[in-house]
Amino acid sequence: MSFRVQFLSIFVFFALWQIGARNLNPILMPTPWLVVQAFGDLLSRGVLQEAFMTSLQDLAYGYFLAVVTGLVLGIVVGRFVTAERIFSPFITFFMATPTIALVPLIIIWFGFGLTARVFLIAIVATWPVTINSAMGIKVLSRLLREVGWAFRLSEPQFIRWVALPNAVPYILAGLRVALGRAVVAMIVAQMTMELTGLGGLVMIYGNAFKTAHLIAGVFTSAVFAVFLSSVMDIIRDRFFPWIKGISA
Amino acid sequence: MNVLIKVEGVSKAYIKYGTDQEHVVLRDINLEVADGEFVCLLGPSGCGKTTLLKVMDGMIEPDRGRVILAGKPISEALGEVGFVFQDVGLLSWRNVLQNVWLGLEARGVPKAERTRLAMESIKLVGLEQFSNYFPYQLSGGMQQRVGLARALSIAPKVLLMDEPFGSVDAMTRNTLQKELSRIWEGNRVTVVFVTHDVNEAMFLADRIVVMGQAQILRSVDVKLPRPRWKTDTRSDKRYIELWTDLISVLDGAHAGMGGGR
Repeated sequence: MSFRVQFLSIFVFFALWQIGARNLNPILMPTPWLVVQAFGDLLSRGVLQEAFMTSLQDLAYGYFLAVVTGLVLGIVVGRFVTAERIFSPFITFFMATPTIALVPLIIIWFGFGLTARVFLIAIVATWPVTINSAMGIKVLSRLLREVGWAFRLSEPQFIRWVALPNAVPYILAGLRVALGRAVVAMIVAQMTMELTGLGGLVMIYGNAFKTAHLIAGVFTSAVFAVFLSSVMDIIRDRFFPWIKGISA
Repeated sequence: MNVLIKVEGVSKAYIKYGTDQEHVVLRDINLEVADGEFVCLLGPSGCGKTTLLKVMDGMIEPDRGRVILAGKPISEALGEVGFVFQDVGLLSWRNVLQNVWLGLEARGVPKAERTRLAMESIKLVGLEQFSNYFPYQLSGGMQQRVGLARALSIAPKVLLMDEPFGSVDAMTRNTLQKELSRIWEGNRVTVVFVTHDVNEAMFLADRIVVMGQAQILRSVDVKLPRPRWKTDTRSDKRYIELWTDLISVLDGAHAGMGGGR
C-alpha cells in the first residue's frame, strides 16, 4: 500500500519534469529522457563506472581511517576524564570547521592526489565517530554498573560484555553521520583538487554545459550514498537485531 | 539455625546535593539472617531498605559497620550472593540463555557446563521455550523471571531481592509471588526480600523486618503455615491480627517520615 503511493509519487515527479522541461533550453534543464540518454552514453564509454570505482576507493580509504581513529579516540575520551579535557576543544573545533575551508591547507600539505583526498575525507568524518563513541561509553546506567558488581565481573569482562555492547547503538549512529559527511567531503575533494571520481565528473560536464550528463552524475552520487547507507542498515539489522528492539 | 548473614552496626549518610546537610539513610543497623530463612524488609519508600540490601551485597560501602557472610566480610564473597533488581537490568544484546549464564561466565565456567546450569534455572522459572529470545521480545513479568533465573544460576548462598515485583501488574505479581514461593520451598535458599507491600511480605516471609526512618522498628515472625498458596491464608485469624499489627507500625513509620518521599 505505502509502496504503491511511493511509486506513484516518483512517477508523477518524472511526468511533471518531462512536461515542464519539454519547452526549456536543455542547457538550463534537460528532460528526464535526455538524462537517461546521457546516462547510457556515460555507461557505454565506461566513464561512469570508472568514476564510481574511484569514488568508492577514495571513500573506503578515508572512511576506514576515520572510523579507526574515531573509535580509538572516542573510547579513550569516553573512558578517561583527563583525556576528555585534553581532546574536547580540538574535537569541537574540527567538528565545526567547514569542509571546504580545509582544502587549500590540505593541497599545500599533500598536493592534489589520492593522499590529499583521503586526508580530507578522514579529517571530516572522524569527529562524529569520536563524539558518539565517547558518549556511548559514558552513558552507562547505574543499574548496569550494579549488575556488573552483583555478578562480580572483572574490569575487562565488564568492558567487553557490558560497556562496549551498550555503546554500540551510539557508535552505529555516529558511523552513519560520519558516512554522510564523508560522502560530501569526497565530492568536494574530487571537485576542488584533481578532477576525478563522481565529483570530478559533475564538475567537468558542468564546465562544458552538458547539463544532462551533469545531472546523471549527480544522480549517481545520490544512488552511491543511498547504497552505502543501506549497506549499513543491513549490517545493523543482521548483526545487532536487538537495537531495533530497544528503540521501538 | 546458624546465622548466615550478620549486619553489624551499619550506618550510611549522604550529603544532600547543593547543601552541607546530612541525610541519614541507615542508622546503626544490626540484623542477623539465619541459614535457609526467608526475610522480608518491609517499609515505606525512602526508609533505607534498598540501601541496606545493597550494603548487604557490598554494592554500597557503609560509613560505619560491616556485613559478614558465612564468617567472611562481604567484600570477599565471590559468587555467593544472587541479586535481583527492581528494574531487572538484563543485557539487551544477550538472549535469555546468555543473560542467565552471566555470573557463571564471569567465573570462567566452560560453555557446556554453564549452558546446562543456566538451562536448569531457566526451567525453574518456566521459560525453557524462550531461551533464545532477546529481552525486548519478553513481557515485564517474563523479564523479571529471567532476572531471577540469572541470580539462581550461580547457586548462591543468599538471594537478595530488591522489590522485584514492584513494576509489574497485579495479576503478574500474584503469579510471580506464587512461583517464587514454590521455587523457595524447593531449594530453601536464604532470601532477603525488600518490599513495601504488607501482603506480599506476609505471603512470602518467615520473618518480617519493618523499617522506618533509617532504623529497624520491629522484627516479627510470620507463623502462618506453608505452603501458603494452597490454602486461603488470608482468612486465617492469625493473618488478620498480624496484618493489623504491621499496618499500625507502618503507619507510625510513614507519619514519622513526613509521608514519605
